[in-house]
Amino acid sequence: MSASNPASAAAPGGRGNPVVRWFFSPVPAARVAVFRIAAYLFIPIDVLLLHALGSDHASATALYKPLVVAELLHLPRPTPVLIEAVKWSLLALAVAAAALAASGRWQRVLGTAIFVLYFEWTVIAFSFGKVDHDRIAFLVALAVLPTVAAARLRDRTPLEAGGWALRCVQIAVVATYFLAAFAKIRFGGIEWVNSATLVRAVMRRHTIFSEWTLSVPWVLHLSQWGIMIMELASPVVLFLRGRRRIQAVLLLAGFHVMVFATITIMFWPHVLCLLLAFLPTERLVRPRPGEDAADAVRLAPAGPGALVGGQGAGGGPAG
Amino acid sequence: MTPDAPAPASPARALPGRAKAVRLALTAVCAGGLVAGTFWWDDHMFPFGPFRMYSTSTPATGNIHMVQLDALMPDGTWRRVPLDAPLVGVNRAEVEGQIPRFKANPGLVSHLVLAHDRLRPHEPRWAGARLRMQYLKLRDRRFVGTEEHPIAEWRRP
Repeated sequence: MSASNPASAAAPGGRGNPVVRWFFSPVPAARVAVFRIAAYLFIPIDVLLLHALGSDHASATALYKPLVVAELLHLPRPTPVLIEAVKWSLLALAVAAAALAASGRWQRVLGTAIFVLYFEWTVIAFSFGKVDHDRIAFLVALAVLPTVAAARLRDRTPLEAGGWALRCVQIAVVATYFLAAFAKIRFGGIEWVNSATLVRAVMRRHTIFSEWTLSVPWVLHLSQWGIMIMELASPVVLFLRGRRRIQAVLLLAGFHVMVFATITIMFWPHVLCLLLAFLPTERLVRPRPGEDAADAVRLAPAGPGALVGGQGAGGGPAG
Repeated sequence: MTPDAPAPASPARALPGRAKAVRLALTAVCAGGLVAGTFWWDDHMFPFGPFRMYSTSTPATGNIHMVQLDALMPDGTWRRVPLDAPLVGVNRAEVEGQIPRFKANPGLVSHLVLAHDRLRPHEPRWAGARLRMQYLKLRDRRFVGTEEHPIAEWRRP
């Protein structure tokens, strides 16, 4: 990408570098506010229920195996006290940020603190021998949401800052699929598609929905080809608009539901980002008097930016 | 959502050129980190490690590895127990990620037992524990049997 003359694209929808226009294609403030509310409300659920590893690790700190980033940043060795302090600070700030997100107040300060604490929480959770791959997009979301100034829930004002923030999350979501394909080729070799990796997954984590596949192994073999093709094709979703984008997002969400049903692995934060970064969530909120959803459609500038729906995806009937 | 009333167009709130340049530079750095992680680094480089969940190849005829935890009960019998974080502080995948450490220092198994003491204070205290590598044997993608080998064992003094 080039940022050689970003000012040339300063005028929304104006002429300029198409890549810059694509990155900063405006989105309604309401979409950012919806994202903030959902992301900050998700944190208590994640920390207390879905991914409570940090708390569990407080009982096994001797097995700590620090990540490189923990050593580079001189993060303290986790102790039960530190883990509890991070957890409860994070919970308090997340609830406060979610409560204030509709008004757009204090979002930069609260959002930045939440990102720092959630990053530390994640680093602690992943410093015991296993790194999960479901939260890069969520970390990116927490990092970029504070870069958007006041974005109120009922405000449809198009924001370039919001456009960049959501674009970053979209890219992180797609990278989680696309780069996973190359990781498979790197670690499993090109023969990964013909290996028995899904047999292994099902044997280790089978459910009543997947046990039958062990006696019909060609289903799992074929699924590996399907996964590889889906991952390599995933960048397409960045360039779809309207109804096709929604269909692609629901297809990907359906894939995660299927994985959950068959091997009990769910990319919760990733799926949250998938839905919130790609769908026109501002429609969930009644706009401020004098505005309507048509604003979101008008955000889409002509030209390459429009190829991605101006991030007002789904606005047009052509969908 | 009121198609009969002409809606006023909201002017987009633009970002200054410098703000855009900084954001694009950050985007490029992070994207570069993820690409580098994908091709050259590993999990310990999180958040720039590869997305490698289930990325290795399991031979259609070969073994699936699975670490198992056995607890030594107060009556002297071994009982297979779940290798889950709510029970022993870490989960199976985390233990599997540290197998060389457990092999080199079997005393580390004590931390699983002590974590169980703290997490399940109302359950009988284990007199020890052992980690075993279970091999689920495949032939043409079909399960044909199991084998087990010891990894590390610790008993409470």
